[in-house]
Amino acid sequence: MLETALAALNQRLSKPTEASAHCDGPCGVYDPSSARIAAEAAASMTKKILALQPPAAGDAPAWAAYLNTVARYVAIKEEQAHLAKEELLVLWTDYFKPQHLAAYPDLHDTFWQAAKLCSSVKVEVSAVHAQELMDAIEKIHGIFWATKGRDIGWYTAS
Amino acid sequence: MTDRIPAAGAREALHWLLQRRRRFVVRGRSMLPTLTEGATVLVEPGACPVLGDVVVARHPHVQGLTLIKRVSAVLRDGRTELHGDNPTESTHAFGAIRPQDVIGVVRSRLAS
Repeated sequence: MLETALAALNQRLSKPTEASAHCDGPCGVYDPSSARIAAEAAASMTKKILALQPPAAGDAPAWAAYLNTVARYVAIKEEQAHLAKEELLVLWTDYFKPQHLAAYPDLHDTFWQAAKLCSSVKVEVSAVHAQELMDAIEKIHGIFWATKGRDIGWYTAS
Repeated sequence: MTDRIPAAGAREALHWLLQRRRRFVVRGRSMLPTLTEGATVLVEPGACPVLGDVVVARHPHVQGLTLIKRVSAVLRDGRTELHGDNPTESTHAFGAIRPQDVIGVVRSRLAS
């Protein structure tokens, strides 16, 4: 009753001041590096998992250590691949604007494919897909800095 | 840390009547699920925010931009760090807010 009356009063009064709950307006700080670092970590874990040698049969302590290592590598790979995807999605949906799409018509497809590669890297142990993800992020890096009119060279931590 | 904002009751209505509240309308989705886009809130101007409060504040770098965010930390010097409630829409921090840039604390919301 009171709630309805207050709502009706609110409607009749002049429009209230706007308060922004946007994210991109307030900070405007974007950089594909965050996705690159996560993707690099996932690629590194992929390589480490592939390089692991199982211990001899019957060596229980060595097997425990081996399984522990596998579990840790897998957990980090899952986490970092997911983080890479999140960072890419934030960049895609928050930073890029329709005018960028006009200049880069394959922008949506590039991000879509990159996000799908994040899933592949997360689910599989594929050095090929891990590298393809890095290539996709390098392409996004190029587009991103071109939209800012800056020439920032591609680099990796490893 | 994501306490809901209560609907305005008699007490809030009285404060509003006595001009102790200012109305703000929410734009954007970073405060979901607490506050939806277009929600109108009643703000107590000049109130001192505590951890977990939703506040309306002036943006530290963008002139004329008013923010609505939740206090995620109160620093020793009285500045506050703000974040949205919606992690997918509010991932980027913008630094601590000075006390004089906090316009007020959200006390209630009006039904739409």
